[in-house]
Amino acid sequence: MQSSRWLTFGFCNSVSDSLLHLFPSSVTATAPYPITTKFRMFHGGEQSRIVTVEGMRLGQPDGVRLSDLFSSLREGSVGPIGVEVSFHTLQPRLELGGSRCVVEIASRSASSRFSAAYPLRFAGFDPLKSYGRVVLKDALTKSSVVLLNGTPDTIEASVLPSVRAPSQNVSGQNDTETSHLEVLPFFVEQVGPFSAVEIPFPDDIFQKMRATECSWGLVRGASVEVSLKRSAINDSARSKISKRTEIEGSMCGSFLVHRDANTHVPMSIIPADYPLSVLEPVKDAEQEGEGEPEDQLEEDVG
Amino acid sequence: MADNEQVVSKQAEERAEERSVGVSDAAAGTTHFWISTYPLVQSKLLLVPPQDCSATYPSRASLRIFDADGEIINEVQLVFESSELSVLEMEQYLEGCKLVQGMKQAHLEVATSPGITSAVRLIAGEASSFSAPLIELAKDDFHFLPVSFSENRSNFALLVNFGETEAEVKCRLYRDKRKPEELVRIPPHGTRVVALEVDFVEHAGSVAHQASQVYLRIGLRSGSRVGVQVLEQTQPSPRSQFYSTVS
Repeated sequence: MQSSRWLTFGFCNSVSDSLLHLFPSSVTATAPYPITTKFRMFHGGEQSRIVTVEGMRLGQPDGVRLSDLFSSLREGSVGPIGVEVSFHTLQPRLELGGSRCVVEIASRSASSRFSAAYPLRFAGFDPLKSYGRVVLKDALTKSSVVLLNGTPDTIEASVLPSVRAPSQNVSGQNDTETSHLEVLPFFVEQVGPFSAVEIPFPDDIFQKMRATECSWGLVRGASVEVSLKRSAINDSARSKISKRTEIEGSMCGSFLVHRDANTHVPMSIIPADYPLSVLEPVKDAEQEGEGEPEDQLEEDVG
Repeated sequence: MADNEQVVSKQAEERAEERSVGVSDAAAGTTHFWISTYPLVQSKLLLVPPQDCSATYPSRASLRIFDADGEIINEVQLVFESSELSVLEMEQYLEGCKLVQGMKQAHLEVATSPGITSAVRLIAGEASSFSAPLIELAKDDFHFLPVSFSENRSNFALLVNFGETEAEVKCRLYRDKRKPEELVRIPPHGTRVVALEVDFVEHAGSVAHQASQVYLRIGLRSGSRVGVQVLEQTQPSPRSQFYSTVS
């Protein structure tokens, strides 16, 4: 059995609703083989049971509303909701690497669509660093970062901008002549087990950056690196975390969110981009499945 | 544009000698974007500093702008401070761009010094979003994209040919059990736009203005490299509109 899985998030509240668009496809076959799709939600320190959806077929796109999969979301939920999506097929030689999952966060005024991310694969306790992505602050846009932790362990996220403010010399004047630059970390955040959090970039760091004048006003921005690492207090905890990650993989990830500065509606959501070497590959049955909760809820909504 | 940046813009005839400035080394990255200007949506290019920037030094970027038929209409060489975010408003370089399919559309090719990344921001009125990079298709490759039909939305498939030969792209719409398709030819370096509600009107019909979820499958039949995206225009009120792509 082959499988492919992603990590993503959505919002379900009075302003925004979330849809999952699913594209099971293969480069090795075009026949409409049956595909099983599994979903798991985590939010506020708790994870849901796995919802299994039968009836999808290879090469045939489909979509499902997040609140149709998890009825508890129909009443609305505060903050982002982490979601794990996976495709499975019983065909042993069917490669699912060409499949995709796109999330749409729709509101009355706008919709934002973005690709779900592959889970990250930690090796030991080294931090995993994303490539730089731009964050902005101006009259139109405010940026934030969504951090997802679908594991039973705490992770530590460090968000660093690439732009450094000119450092100050002893007299308190900006040391621009020598072009020495001071690192201005946005923040370091502990994300608890089975949690999804959205953290806005603080204004005070942007204020230290040089502004660019554009036709719609001043723009301040930087590219940021999101670094994730597993936290462990002592050696015993470290060995437990290592063992769990070997079995379950690490459902951790991060996304940059650009919201309208006035309405706060999400306008663009961009997955943080990590090197291919730390992304989870497509798996076969021997490698996966052992970490799933035993009390699976089977429901055909396809 | 920041004061410390030097911009040199020349018409296509004058560009030949200046093509090799700084960005032709193998480590430099090249990115392609579909861009537009009034009356559709304004495009702004962002040049983003490298992550490990610990000092200020000059960086370079080279832009080539092709019109919808693949003719170069402008070339720009930039030198800017590596530690600062740079914003370039593209309208000034699209004045000579001809109207094709009722809009000024162009193919922007950005080559930058190593470590510098580029992004395009779409601004319409007081709404702004990021234009996601084009999804690159190789021959016989295909890609699915979600499309929502509704009364206050319009959807456009954006097609950009990166290659030196004409490309043929097949757009197939999945709506219920029907799968109408259209073949689009794109000249080398050129662009084409498929207005989904208009070009698939026979199949979408009045349904295009009822809320419904459809999917677009875009595949490359011939040609070497093509980039695709879907641009969604939402108009929640007569005076406001918003454009978005799939990140």
